[in-house]
Amino acid sequence: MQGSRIHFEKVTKSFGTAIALSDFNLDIAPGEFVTLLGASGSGKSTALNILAGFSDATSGEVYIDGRPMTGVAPENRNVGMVFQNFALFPHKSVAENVAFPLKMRKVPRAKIERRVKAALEMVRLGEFAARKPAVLSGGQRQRVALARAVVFEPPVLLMDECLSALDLKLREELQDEIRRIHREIGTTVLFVTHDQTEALTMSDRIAILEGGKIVQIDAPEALYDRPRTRFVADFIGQSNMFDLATVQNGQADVPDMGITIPVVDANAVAISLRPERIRVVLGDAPADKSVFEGVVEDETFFGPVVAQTVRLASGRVLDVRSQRSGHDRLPHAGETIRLAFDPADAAPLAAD
Amino acid sequence: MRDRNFLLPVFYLLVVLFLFFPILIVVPISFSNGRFLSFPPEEFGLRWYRAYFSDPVWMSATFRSLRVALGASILATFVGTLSVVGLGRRRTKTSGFLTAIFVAPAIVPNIIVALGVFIFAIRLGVSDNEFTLVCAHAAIGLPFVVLMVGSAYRQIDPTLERAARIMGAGPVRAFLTATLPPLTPAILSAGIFAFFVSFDELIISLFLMSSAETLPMRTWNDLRFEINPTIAAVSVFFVLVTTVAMSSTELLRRRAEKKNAA
Repeated sequence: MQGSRIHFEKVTKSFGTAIALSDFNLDIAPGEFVTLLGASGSGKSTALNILAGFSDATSGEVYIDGRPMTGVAPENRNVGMVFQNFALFPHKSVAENVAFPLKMRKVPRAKIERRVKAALEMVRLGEFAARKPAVLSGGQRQRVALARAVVFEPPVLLMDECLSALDLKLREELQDEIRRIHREIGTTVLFVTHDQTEALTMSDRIAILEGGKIVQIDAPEALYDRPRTRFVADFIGQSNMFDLATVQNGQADVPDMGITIPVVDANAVAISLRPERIRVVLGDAPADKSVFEGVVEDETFFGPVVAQTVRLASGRVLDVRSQRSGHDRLPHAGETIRLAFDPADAAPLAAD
Repeated sequence: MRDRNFLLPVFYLLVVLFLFFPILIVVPISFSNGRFLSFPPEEFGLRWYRAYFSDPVWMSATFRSLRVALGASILATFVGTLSVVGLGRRRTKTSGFLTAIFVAPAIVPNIIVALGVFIFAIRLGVSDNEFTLVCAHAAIGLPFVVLMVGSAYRQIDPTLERAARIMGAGPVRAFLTATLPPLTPAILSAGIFAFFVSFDELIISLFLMSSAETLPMRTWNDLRFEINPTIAAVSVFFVLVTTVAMSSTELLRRRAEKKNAA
């Protein structure tokens, strides 16, 4: 099956004076898995509801395969959706729930039976067909909801915070399951979440939303390695951010560290440095210009990894995560530590 | 402590007796064979039950009341449920104002409603008409439907209806699939309530009807001239009917509720 192309064009949505989405543009390729990631109130659910047809855009247009969606009722959009609270019909059995979208499409009964069976087997709930949702666990209910959303092979699948009601272990299981199903049926997925781990593990691309706008959209690795603003660097993973003095001739001072690094981006005002990209300089390695010093303030031992907070001479604190090699002795709390990093690992940040 | 534990059941029993005494007292009276209303009866028998069931006037009043109450409760439930859906889930100024209007007949004294309905019916030339009475009774039953069904409606998860829509159901089908089943218990309860609001009602009926009597009207007219044990037999019969109706509806309601348990 072929997924649809989705296109948001300059979509704006306001509720009275509150603006939920402003000039929202997004192009999703057929079969792509895109996640809208943002805090509550960032507009991610609003975008999803407009695509589903539950609310109208104040201005702008949403296209599915080039067809404008304004005025098309939800039931005519041929879109599958999984809701946060499952939204299973309590008075219908699992099989009846999954059969519902097929019944609405007037699929012949024998075919309905076959496809319901296949969908339930896909989410490994074959033997639960006759049960009522009330007797299922949260994870099982969400899998029924998933089966129900994909049973009619929709070219677009929407997921609204659909894993956040579940506990961690179930969530991870379902993430795997959703990815597998996505691969199997090839539908275009628009996934909404506020959980960055979920976004990073599942998506082809992640759009970070803030205040009704996309602040950055990229593949998970790019987003993690090259955040473009402080907001994104802070939102995804852990980050050490340092202001830059004026960039000149491709060089910039990092006042807090007392070093100079090459910076390509002339508009950069700061750098973001992931804790695991900072190297501890051990022994009597020659002190070159890129090495800076601090005092270990606190450390947490995780086994293979040690997380340390280091206070620099300027008073700034930064996080360092080091892989332990087993032979080297890392400085402990209260001791001086020498640090360095590859300038290529420092992501230049533009002003927000 | 033991003594106090024993006080509560006694108090409970007294409250129950207080509530049921007027109903219980008519039971022995109804089985009297004497000619006059007396307590305790001197002789027991089914004389007054025979009198009630064989009297065409009493019977036609009874059936009229049942008909009117059934019609009024169905009308009130239908209109009331649609009103609830129309008012929507979110409370706005408009919905608050409209709710106040829907609930008004329960607050305004029935005699005022009666006067209004009477004048209105005379103007339209539809007084002394069973259907007019059905409409009037539906109006005073409506507040209970709007309140009872309304509170149930606001507790139903609106995403159920959205889910139905996105799966291909039109608005009506989505309502019938997602919202109506969990709403059924409340609709049943409200229906039975509206039924008895009409079945009990005397004042509006007295104003509106003349030749065609309802059961409360018949009872009232009967009491005004003579007091005989027919009334007691009628009362007991209707306590029974009410009990059966109430408990069967409650059973239906519970079954529907169980079916919808999430």
